[in-house]
Amino acid sequence: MAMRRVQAPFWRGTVSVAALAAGLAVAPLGAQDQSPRASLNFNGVTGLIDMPSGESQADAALTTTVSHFAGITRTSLSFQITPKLSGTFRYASTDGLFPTRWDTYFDRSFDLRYQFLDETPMLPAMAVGLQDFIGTGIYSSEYLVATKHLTPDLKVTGGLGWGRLGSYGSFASVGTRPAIDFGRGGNANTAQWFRGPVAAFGGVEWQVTPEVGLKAEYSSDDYTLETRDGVFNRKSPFNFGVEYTPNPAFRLGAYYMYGSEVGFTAQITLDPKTRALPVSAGAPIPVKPRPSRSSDPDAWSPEWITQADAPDLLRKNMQKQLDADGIEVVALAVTSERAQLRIRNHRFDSTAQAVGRTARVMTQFLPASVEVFEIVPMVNGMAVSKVTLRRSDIEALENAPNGAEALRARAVISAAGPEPARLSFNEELYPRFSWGIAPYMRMSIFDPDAPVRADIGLRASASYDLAPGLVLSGAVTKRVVGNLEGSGRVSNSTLPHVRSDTNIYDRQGDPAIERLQLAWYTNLGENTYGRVTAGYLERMFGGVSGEVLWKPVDSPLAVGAELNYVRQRDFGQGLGFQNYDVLTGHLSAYYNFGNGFHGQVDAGRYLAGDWGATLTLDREFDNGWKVGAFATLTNVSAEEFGEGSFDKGIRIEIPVTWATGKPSRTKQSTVLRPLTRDGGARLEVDGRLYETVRDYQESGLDTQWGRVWQ
Amino acid sequence: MGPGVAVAAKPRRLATVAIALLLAMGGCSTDRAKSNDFAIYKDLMRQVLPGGQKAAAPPKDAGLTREAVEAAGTDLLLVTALNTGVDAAMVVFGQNGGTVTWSSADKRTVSLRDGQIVATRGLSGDLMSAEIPAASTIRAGAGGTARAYYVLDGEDNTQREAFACQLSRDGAETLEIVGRSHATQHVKEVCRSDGRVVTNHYWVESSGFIRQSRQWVSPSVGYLLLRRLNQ
Repeated sequence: MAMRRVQAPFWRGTVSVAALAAGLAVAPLGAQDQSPRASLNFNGVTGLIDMPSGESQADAALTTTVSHFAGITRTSLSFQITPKLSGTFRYASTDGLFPTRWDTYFDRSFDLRYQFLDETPMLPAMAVGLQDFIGTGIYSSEYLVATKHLTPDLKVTGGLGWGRLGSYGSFASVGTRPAIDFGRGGNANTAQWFRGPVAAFGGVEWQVTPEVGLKAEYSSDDYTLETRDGVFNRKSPFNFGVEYTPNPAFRLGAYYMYGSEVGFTAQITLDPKTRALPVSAGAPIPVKPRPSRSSDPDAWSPEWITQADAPDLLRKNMQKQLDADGIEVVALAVTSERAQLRIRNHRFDSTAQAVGRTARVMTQFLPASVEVFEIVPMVNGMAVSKVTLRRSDIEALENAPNGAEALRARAVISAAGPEPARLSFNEELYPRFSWGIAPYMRMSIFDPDAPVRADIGLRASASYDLAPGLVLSGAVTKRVVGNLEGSGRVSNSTLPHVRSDTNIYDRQGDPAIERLQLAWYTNLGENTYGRVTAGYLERMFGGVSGEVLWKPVDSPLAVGAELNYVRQRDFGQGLGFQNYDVLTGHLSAYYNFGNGFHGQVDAGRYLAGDWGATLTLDREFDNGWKVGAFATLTNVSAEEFGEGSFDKGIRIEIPVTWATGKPSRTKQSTVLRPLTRDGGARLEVDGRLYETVRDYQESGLDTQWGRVWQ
Repeated sequence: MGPGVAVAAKPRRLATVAIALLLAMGGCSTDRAKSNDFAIYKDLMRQVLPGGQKAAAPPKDAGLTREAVEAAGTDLLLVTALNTGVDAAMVVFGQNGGTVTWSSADKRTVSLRDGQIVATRGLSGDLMSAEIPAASTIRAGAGGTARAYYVLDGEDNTQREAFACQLSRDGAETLEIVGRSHATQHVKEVCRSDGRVVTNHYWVESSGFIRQSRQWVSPSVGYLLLRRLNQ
């Protein structure tokens, strides 16, 4: 028998070696570009102090600001959607505005601005902006603004404003501006745009040192409402400030405003494109090249395939090495020339990195006659793609200049295809029980009675893998500390209260069975996947959910259908149900535009029985960051929907790897809705197919292919 | 590195940790993906909390003596990260063609071809691959060379940085490495890219063997000092 038994001499030498310890792992970050970036104003958009400027933030910058003066606090989240286009969501509170109705008036608003001209030696940067174009409108204004550097450290800004920004010192008027509609908000107030009195504003910014900057501006905001209600006394249109930028991520400012007030800002900038720490995982096992045929003809003999226990032995040997990388072998099929390894990747956010490590382990163990490696990533029992590599390419390119690109050119990524014959399965996978306990935090924001409420507690979760694709799982939560129960607001919704009773769920669900479900996943065809989930699916609903997804490996387009029959759960989140039940479901289309943008349309029936569609647009970064916005319009009228008029929000997904530099598949997702009402509400089901499958397919593999050799 | 960088690095790292805390939120689990996250969280906490990893500075020369080197019975490479001054002893981990991969016990590797670094793994901001000149050119210690380094940017896309270099001889030097002297010729290689100037140093023995070198690796790793302890 010419089969070579495998040894594992990887850590030879028992020399007492000191670790290349933390110092090397957390090497100082390279010299940062310290050139001062454009600063943000009190409204969270690029600008002076209270006025906007003509510049933009760096592409993809995600910024948040908190500003305060005269009892007015504004918290904002802005995103530079493209190099020219940016969007802002702002939450403002004003003490003493509309005093007959509120002690503190809370307001949510959205801005969009577009920089239509880049600065040149002759011309200024110019931008057009719509402020509060979709909210209740107290901040509504439009502007055209230009900024020009006189020296690298000195720039001047001048602009024209309408609405709020045309309220002081106006010199002309464009038609008449309809009055602010203090209704529910949420509708684009197009009739007001660039209408009514026009006023000029402007200012100067001087970057004295890289850390310290000075600003002065002339504001065209008269603060008419605030002055009327005695919020503050606007004595002057001039504002002055000093700002301190200790590092590229942070800026603080102090200001003297409107001749009577002191103000402050804090600004934080995150750049999704730059990792907080570079990815650093333990080094991979190197490629083990085969001996030449002439020097060791025995090693190349294909006779090993006749050894009955060869597949089992090889599978177990490879598993031992892959354990260190959090990769699990599901099954192995071998012929004398070809090996297919089916794997689960529990660790690497980059599927390519998991594939690269698997391929190198295969070179260590598989007999020399095996030339073709097929690596099939499996998720929830489904085979989702197949990466085919030639072993000679792996050997030749391991240390080649830009070996990643060279390997990609020779790799084939295709549908997983049918299960090969004679698979040697890892019998340890089923059944398998796992459990965990972790803290959780649940927040409620934008409640006018208490803008931020939160509960912190413990969540115990467990899952039981019964068979490939069949998983029983659940989670129970117990609150430890928090004030969510303090919300006593009663929903005034005229629709079925499918989401607006959240505070009752918060109050009564302690402890709560968050989820308890049986899920079944399967490959329905070469490009088609199926899921059925039954049980207590989410905090508020239980029932049955079925989904089918068509997603070819190399297609930017995917189409899915989901149908659910659910009943509303008891507020206490035990096993009981309330009387409301509904048949809800959607047809979904997903499209990867390929330039960093991804779109999704879901059309169908929502939880309250309303019919309509949700449009979601995300900017996606190759490192896993996503920043997106969504809006849902249904046949629920704005009156029935209530405040906000329709469901909309922002979502942000940050991979743990981006922040820690350590490989992990976990992502932190946040959905920010200015208001949660009952119209346009979707069922939340764990493990929907598209996101489950997508990472392991061509687009997901290609985005992080650079890490295949890492 | 100027002092400004050091000042900037600290709040950034604390911010990172704060984000990581929010993200990972600890916990313990038998689930493989979740227990991986828990390990990350523990690791971060160790770096931040007082009395953590920082306290134990690794010994000079990785604590090696000449006796230990002789007793090891295997080739040893002593690697020093000049950014941090941390030493690690490495042994041969794998060989593919002319490239030898050396590894420390904690799975950090340096791959060398003709004594020149062509890749690192397990460091923060690895050199993914490189185009390097022939070893004979380095040994000759004169003339121009071309290099290119491939690293990953924040979005995991490969970035190439090309350097044009000039070699020069810097005279004879006797090195003292872990209790043994070596007669070498010092060769300097000054390399320029669009954005930076780096200088590699090689100490070459009469046989052509590169006994010691100080080579630039990547923007975040900086320079590594490599010393061959036996042969």
